[in-house]
Amino acid sequence: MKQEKILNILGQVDEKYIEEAAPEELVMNPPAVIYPFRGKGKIKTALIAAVIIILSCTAVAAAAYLYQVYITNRDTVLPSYQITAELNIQTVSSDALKELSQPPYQIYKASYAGVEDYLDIDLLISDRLESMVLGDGVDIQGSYTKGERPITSITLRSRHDTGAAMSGYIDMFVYMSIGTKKPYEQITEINNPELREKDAILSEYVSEVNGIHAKFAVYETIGYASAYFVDNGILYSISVSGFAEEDHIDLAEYLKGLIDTFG
Amino acid sequence: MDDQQIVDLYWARAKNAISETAYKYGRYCHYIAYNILRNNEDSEECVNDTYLKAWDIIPPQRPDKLSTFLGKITRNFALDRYKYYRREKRGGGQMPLVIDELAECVSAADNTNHIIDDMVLVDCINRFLTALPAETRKIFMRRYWYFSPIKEIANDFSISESNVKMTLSRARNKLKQLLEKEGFEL
Repeated sequence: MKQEKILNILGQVDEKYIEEAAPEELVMNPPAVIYPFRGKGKIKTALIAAVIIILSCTAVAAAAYLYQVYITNRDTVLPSYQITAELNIQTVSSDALKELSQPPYQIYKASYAGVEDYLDIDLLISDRLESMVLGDGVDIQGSYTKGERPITSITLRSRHDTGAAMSGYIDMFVYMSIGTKKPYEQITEINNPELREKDAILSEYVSEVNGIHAKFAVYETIGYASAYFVDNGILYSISVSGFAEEDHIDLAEYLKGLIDTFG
Repeated sequence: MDDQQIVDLYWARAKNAISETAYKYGRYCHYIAYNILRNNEDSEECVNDTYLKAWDIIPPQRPDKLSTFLGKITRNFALDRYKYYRREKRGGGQMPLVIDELAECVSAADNTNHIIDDMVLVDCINRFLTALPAETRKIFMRRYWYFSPIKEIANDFSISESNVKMTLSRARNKLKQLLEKEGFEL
């Protein structure tokens, strides 16, 4: 019969129509079989998933952007440190930029007055710093690179006599990173014993007076010791070189005493 | 136990595959068979035949929807059995009523010799079902796939029996128009 033909054909229709029309109470585990096709529910689920994905991506992008902003700017603000010096960058003079245009970069050394002329920098050294560490013969060294941030760092360098305690010199470097060069990268470079002699003895010191955490490199064979620490984002490097054996001076202890005077 | 686990039992040739199938889908299959045959013993035999058939063809088959897979087997067994009883002048159930109703969808001319491409016709009916409103489609399938009585459909959908009849009548007319439009002459 023709009607039976229709019935047979109906038996072959898409299973989803069979499933959605199934009487709900007939299967022992209804969710597995008889839930109707829920197109709206699926669309809703897909939309919710899409919103969650978009929000997640937005959050990640925002976090990445904020992190990038932080990384880019964390070294651009000059720290105001009371103990050592105050540095106010205004503008880089056209003369300095002209001379610095030769790739990849050049390092300039100048006197205190000279660097002001070159860089139009108003450099102030606090009284305490002058009286304690920086004596005669202060050198100011600026490193520059051509590009979006011409000034990468300013280095204050001082050398003075160790006085009666020992012969030799105390050198002090104050690194102020202005551009992309990070103090911590400098520390890594400086503390790498392979950059100097391979027989350096590395150690650390935490001052009980001011809490400064310094890293030491002592080169006994050449009578040289240096300490590095970061305070307020500024990298300090203090080194002592002398004739330790003749003077019976423990260079590391001498440096620790100097570090204790900070703060 | 979900469908996949039951199918895995068949593939492992575990005997409890059939008992798990009977537990989950026994009533479902029996419902389909009983609507066609209107006889408990015959329906039970159809359902048991369904389990054996499933045991024979899983593997190699791995059905995605075990319910409709079993339901189709049961339906075919029940329809075959109905045809046999009709020749023997026995039987009853919803089948005679359903066949009378579907007569509206076919022409009066006797074109039984005309060869119909079943696949094309199935596709046509699928499109017809897709175009129907969801509730109308469910009612249509309950009646012509599951052979559910009008009264039961009315109860399940919380509408009157006359409303069910009217819905079915309109759906049949639409089906007839579509079949004619597509060039099917049954």
